[in-house]
Amino acid sequence: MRLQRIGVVYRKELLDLTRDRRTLVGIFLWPLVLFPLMTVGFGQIEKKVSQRAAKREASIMVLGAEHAPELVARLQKTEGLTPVPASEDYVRQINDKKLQAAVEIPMGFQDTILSGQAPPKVSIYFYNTEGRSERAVDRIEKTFENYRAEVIESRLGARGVTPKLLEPVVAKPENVATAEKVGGIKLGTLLPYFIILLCLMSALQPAIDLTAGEKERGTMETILASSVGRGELVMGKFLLVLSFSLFNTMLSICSFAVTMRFAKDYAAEMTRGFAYTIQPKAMLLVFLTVFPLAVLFSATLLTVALFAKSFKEGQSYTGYVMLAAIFPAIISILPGIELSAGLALVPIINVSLVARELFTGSYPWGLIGLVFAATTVYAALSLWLAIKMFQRESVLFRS
Amino acid sequence: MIDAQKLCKEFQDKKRGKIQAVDQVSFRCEPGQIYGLLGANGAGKTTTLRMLATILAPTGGTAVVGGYDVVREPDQVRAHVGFLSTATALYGRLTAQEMVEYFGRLYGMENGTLKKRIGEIFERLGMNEFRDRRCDKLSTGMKQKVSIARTLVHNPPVMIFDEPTLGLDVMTARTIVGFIRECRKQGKTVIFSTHVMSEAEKLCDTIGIIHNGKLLAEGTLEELRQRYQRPDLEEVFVHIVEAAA
Amino acid sequence: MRTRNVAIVFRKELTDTLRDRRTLISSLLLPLLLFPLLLAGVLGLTILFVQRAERQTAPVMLLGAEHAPELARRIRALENVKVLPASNQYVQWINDKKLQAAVEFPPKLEINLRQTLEQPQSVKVYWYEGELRSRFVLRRIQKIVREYREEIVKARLAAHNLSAADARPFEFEQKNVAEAEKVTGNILGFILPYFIIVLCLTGAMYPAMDLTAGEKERGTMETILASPAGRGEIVLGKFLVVLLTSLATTALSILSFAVTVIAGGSALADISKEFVIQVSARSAATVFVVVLPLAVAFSAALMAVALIARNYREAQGYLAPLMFVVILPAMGSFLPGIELNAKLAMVPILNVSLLAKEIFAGQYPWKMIGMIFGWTCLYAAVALWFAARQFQREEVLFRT
Repeated sequence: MRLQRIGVVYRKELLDLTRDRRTLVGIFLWPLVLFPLMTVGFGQIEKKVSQRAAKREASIMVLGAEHAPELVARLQKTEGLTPVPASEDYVRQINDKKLQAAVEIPMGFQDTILSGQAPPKVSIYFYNTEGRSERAVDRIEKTFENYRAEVIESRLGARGVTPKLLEPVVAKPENVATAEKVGGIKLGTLLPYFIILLCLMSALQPAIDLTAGEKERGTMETILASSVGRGELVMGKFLLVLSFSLFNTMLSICSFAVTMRFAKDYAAEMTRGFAYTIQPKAMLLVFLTVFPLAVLFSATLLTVALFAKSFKEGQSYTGYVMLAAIFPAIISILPGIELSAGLALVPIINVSLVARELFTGSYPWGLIGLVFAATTVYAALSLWLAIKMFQRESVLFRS
Repeated sequence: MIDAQKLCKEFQDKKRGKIQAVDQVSFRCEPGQIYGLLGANGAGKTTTLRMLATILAPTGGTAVVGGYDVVREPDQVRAHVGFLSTATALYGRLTAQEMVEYFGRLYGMENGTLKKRIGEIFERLGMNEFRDRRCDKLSTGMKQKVSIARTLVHNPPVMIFDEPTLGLDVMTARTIVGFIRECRKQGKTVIFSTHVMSEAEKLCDTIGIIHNGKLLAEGTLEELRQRYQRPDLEEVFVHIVEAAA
Repeated sequence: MRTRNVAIVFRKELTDTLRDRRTLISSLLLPLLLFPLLLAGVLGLTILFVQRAERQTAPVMLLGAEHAPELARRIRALENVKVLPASNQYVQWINDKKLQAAVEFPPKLEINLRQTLEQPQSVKVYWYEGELRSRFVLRRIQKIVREYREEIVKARLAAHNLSAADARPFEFEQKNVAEAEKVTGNILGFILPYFIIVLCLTGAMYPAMDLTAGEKERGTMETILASPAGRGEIVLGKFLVVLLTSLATTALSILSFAVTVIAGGSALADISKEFVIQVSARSAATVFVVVLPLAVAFSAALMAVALIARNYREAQGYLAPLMFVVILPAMGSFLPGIELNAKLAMVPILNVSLLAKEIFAGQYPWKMIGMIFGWTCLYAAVALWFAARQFQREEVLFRT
């Protein structure tokens, strides 16, 4: 296997690829234009819409207002609530979204409160899952709670007791995990998933082009008749698919990082909870574990696409590989799944989980080594398979 | 009958600007005769034939094909023309029979007539054994027969062939050539294009030499040999083309 | 335009498409299998993992247990909780996930609680925010403290001759009065419009490419053009097949999704009793009518664009970016609280997304429905006209 020949094949394939205008646009369009636009744009729109929705007045109805004049007075003073006259068809009105909530006060409410007997229950009727209705309920409940606190205070005060009697002890949660770890969990769940998916998807097109596409254009035969060895040919093509895939992934990650940082000011809702400090050590290790996975993907896709007779067929076959790979990728982002020695041997899941650990700043060296070793073994196997397939005439000259 | 009258076709190319692919081409072809359009790649053969088949619209001039004007009555022209360009362009997922039936129906043939006709054609061409086989599973020779059947199903009076033997081996090319001769015997008007000299020499009653969109010379093989004082068609052709350059 | 010819072309293209393995898999098999597998698999695994995490023994540390012997005893008595000896490494251990939580009792807690002090005491629970198991333990500890507190309050009230009613003058509770259909509809209206629109587009993509660029690639374009079928008839026949495939894919996917959710819902119903899933046929039918012209527009537009390509691969390059153009406005259904108005009713795709959201939620703003239907039909007509025109242009059909 002559390195020089591999280099020649690689350079030609690279030249060919970079002259394809559509591919070039495709590489740069998503990370540099679409993703930032979508994130910031959507974040902005969501913010504006939410703000506008929060400011709207909610119509509420009070049934039995005569039983609790004090409470009703409070409701009328509450911001954002507009009482409307009582009527029988409140259920219909709530369903039709003309009314956001209705409060039903039982008979004798005020007297019962003053006398201190069994607590009466006020019902708040609303429209579950409907934003405006739920917001109205929040405001109503807050008003009720304030009122109730006052009543308690006056009652206990009348007996010479403070309301603090009722709050002897409370359990206060205090987070002691570092910001890196807290933000790292969210990041470490989603980012590895995206990196893996990106690696896979960006390897698709060149893999098909360099094999099935070559067959379709009729140039496969020509190159095979030249003085480059089959193995060298495969390595040159494989290296191109790999570098293309890695380049794309890096670009997307950079775009992601920059957008997230920038979007912090413009779309705070969406970027909340993401860590912004990732140790370079962690980043390097993540790259190290993703690399053999990228090799595995590139080699596998190349091999699978080689079986196809045309570009269209190549798409179908590689599509199946994509589907097969998506399942482990999705599993790795489920809650409650943790990296273990057993999982460290399962391809794709292992890289995703170890990356999550690294993003949260934890370094389980034994497991990291295991994941790296296992993935490298799989990668080597896939590469060997690719070379084998390129030797088989039944695959190269399928018709 | 085919009567081309000063046919012109102009294209707009992004890089090269305006191109005159066919420039004032006129010729006649009588029923029971084979007219051969001879020219190099890019000479305008395919464009001319496409205009006759109403696939392309002329930008100047017109033609009367099978008694109908290509500009004013394209639908009628198509109903009376059998067009064959590449012999292997078939719908891969349809069976041989379905392939021919589809076009038969488009030609307005009723189910009963169509079935009978297909039966006849398949019998004559020896296609019954692969009648129900998918087109993408047929050999090149079989595919050719399917294409011929498809072209013949509505028994058109005019046959237009665009480089029909391109890429075929000797034995399979002979089938096509035999078929073209048969069409002439049946009194059909036949026109075909080629750049293979021997084919033109063997088949054509009249030969038209086309180059750069212009019809440079026309006549029987004998007439051309006499006129240009050259022993064979290839020499005649080269002479004419070089003179025009 | 002869209907007979359109029908002939339609029948042939349909037969051809149905025999294409790729179409069968991506339009039939995938929607039917993917959703149940994905939903069931993912949901099933999630429940499995979460349950497993809950059952795992959680290491916990108590700091200053001597100040709160009763609380400490209760925490120790918890199932699946292991109390480690106190150490001041707890912050590091929590970070390393060797410890799920550390509870710190303030000095003399229970002694102070027995006397009624002014200041409420707080028990600090140190945890790892966002980490699943840490959160489970936190909640269980909070529950213990809450129960203990209630006991103390009860005792205190009794000591002062107060009743529980004194401490809680009145109650209030939320009661949903919206019909089950409307509640389900709200949830559906969030994601379903997006999916329907995207499915309509992706379902049309492959056949649109195959029937135009694919035809060119296979060399059969010329043959069909030389046949008596007029250009318009050919376009219409092909377009109808693309539309049919798009609608079939969408319908099958939604059906498969619905069946999975309902089956899953009844499984979940045992867990969460309140959840009732009900979808109104009326809203489904109305949404279908509103989406139909959009599907027409998609099919026609995709065909028109794909026709420009010389082969399948090129067609892919042209159509793939169109996905993004459609996805963004389709996401309109994710936005809460947008009100439809005359201006928004003009924006293609977004209008349908927002309208479908309203219809699923049981609202039928007939004027808006009419307006949006009208606008979408207009866009569909333009797309169809564009597709038909493309088929007339020789430089498009014979691009080399």
